[in-house]
Amino acid sequence: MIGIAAASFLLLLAVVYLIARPYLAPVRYAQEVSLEQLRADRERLRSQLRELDADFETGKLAREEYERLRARRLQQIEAATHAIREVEGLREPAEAPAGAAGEPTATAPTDEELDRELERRIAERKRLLAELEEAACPTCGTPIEPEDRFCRRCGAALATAEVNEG
Amino acid sequence: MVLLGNFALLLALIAAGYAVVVGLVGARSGREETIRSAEGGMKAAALALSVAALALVVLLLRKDFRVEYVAQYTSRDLSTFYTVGAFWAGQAGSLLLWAWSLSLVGAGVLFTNRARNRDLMPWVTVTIGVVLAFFTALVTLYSNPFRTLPVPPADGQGLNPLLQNYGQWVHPIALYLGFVGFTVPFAFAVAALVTGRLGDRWIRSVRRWTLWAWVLLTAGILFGARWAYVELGWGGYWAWDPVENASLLPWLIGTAYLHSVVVQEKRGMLRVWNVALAIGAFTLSIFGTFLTRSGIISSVHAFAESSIGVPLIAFTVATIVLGTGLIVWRLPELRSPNRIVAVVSRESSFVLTNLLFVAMTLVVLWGTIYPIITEAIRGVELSVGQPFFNTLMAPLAVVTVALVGVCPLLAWRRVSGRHLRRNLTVPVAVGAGVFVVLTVLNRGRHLLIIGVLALGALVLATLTSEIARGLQVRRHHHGESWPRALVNLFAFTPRRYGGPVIHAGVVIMLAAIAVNVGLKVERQAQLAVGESLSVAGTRVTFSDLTFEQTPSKFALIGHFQVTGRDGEPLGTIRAEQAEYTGQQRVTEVGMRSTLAADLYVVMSDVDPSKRVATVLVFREPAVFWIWTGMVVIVLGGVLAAWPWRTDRPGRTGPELELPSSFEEPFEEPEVAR
Repeated sequence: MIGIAAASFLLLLAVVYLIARPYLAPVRYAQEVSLEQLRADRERLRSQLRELDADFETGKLAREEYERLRARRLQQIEAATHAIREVEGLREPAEAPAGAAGEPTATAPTDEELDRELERRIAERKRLLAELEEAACPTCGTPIEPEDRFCRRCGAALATAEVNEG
Repeated sequence: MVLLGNFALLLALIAAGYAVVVGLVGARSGREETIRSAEGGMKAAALALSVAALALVVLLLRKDFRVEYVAQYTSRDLSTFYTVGAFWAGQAGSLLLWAWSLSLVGAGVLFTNRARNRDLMPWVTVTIGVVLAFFTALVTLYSNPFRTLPVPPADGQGLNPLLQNYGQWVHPIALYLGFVGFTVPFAFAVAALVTGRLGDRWIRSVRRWTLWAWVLLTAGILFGARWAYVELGWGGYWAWDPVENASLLPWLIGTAYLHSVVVQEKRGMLRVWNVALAIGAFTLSIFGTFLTRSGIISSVHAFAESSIGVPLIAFTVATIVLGTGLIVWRLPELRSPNRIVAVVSRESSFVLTNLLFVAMTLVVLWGTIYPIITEAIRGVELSVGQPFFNTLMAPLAVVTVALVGVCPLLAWRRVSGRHLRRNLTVPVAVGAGVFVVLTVLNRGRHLLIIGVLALGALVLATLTSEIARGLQVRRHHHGESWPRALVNLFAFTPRRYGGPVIHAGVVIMLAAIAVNVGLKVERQAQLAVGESLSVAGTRVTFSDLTFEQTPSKFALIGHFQVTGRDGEPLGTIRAEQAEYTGQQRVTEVGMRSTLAADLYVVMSDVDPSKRVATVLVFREPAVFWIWTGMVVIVLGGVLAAWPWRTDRPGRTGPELELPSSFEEPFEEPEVAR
């Protein structure tokens, strides 16, 4: 009986802990989240690229269409890799000071500054990726395909310049 | 233990409710802590339900007959293996298994998405939370496995002997996990609809979950068919029984979903189809539970009857209403600007696939609920016979198989006739060859079956050439050896080549079913020991009748000598009629299997004093190939769903041919300067 009561009590504690933990010790999720999301995005793009290759190699995609789509995917992967490297690059100095406690650097940016800068860059990269991935017509908002030059609904000419910036 | 079980159930219910309410608050406010806390609620529910499940296992193992459920489904002499298997022998335990596995799946989804899809996760948590709270409430309030008896019996009633088969550990669990698994695409579809993130990200995020759900559901259904054949003694494997249909309905829609999402991933089309199919597959798995559990229909699965029908049907209706509402609300955004360019193209064949699967679903659904409707309206229960299903489903299945043969050869967008003709030449020649040879061998009989076999051969040829072409490409472009190319074919493009394996299995299975149904022979006679009957040239002689008495059962065993056309002995078959203590009388089928056909012997109505019995003998052609097809299907599914690690360093390199800039060191991040 005591064993049962103790087990019940432990279970109750565990449940309360699981629910309360995010409030008790708020973890800073932002960096992890965006890095993981970017990696997932890149993996997804890579698998699309493989499918594309296989489609072409087995004769299910015309060459010109294949080349256009492939170039597009490579650009997207490159953009994602850039973003990942940036986040990783920013994260490392943020973690380093703990180990290099001996030499306090006045010029080193504070954690907060790093975070803000990081958020800004991530937002930028995400916007770029989002544009690449689920592009919409800037005039009427209709989703457009990567290879489209004109919007199918309103006929507006679709610029691809912003893609090349990445 | 009873106390702990009830306490754990109550905590699970509270935690699931918390996940729903706080998840909604978090979704509105967007505060990360709130959302994470809701997710914590889901994990807490998983923990509590695990404790509840463990408590039930302990009670079963202790044979604690104070607990009604334990007394109903176990007895003192039941082996440990089946005692634990009695967990899901009845409704209360089955529902607990449902809720428990759903909570584990939910926790798994939250874990794998802890750092991705954060925009969707509040709604995923809420959706899974609602389903979990519903099932936990059913277990806690309606059908509690921890209910105790005022007067504990001296011994339990024991497990239904039909369930005392290792299948009890495979069939129900695989089905439940399959049903439960379809909650994941449902939850993501709802999240995508609510948030308006209607691209293909939600589909890709749930791809693996959905594939595993499909594989398990498929394995569950197929294993059930085999179990019925081996155990039930009516010589069949599928009877369009309402409960079989209940599992087939979500399978058909889930299969359509798996095909349909490919088009959205490739071309951004069929978005309405995909959200509707994801919601439909889930709704039908709840509806299937309703059909099984409500006792509204009579079926061989009659042990599953009870009275939780009202909450289940209410939940089904609520899901349909909410799902339809969400889709209608998002309809303008869901419409894809892309149109099908050509009538004959890969896209159009996928649309046709969807239509075929939906048509099959409607046939099965109508045949299943028609008796219920007529009973409600006219007060007469009419049953829809097997001919209804067979005549409608067979042609639909044949068209689907034909499509499997053609679809892989079609290109996206537009098909070049020359390309298609070139790829179709060999398969068509193979199909025609099979047709001619078999027609000549059978002297013009069985043309329909031969037609199906020829079509099957055509499709198998297409699938084989598809895989062969993939292998060749890998060898030429990547310089791989044959075995390496084979492994990488599945590792790098699992779905592209897992699919053909599944399709090959389906073709083998359906062709074998056509042969089996068309050429099955059945003989029944009352035989005394020494007498015999003849089935399709094989003579079955009732050679002896013996007895066997064990503590749990009393069995009459019939021994049968089998001899061939020319009197050559082909071995013996042993069929049983057994009575388990306190349970119904069951027959054990005797069987002699070869690659060509099974000889299937059922002995019943035995009169031990006169040594006479009713003997039913089937010659079941091609049954071995039905099982072979099933194994291939499941194998292909596992290949497609397997978590191949292609991101390992060194394996992605040559595959991607990344632009050279990737190898250059990146400039220092600005902030660090």
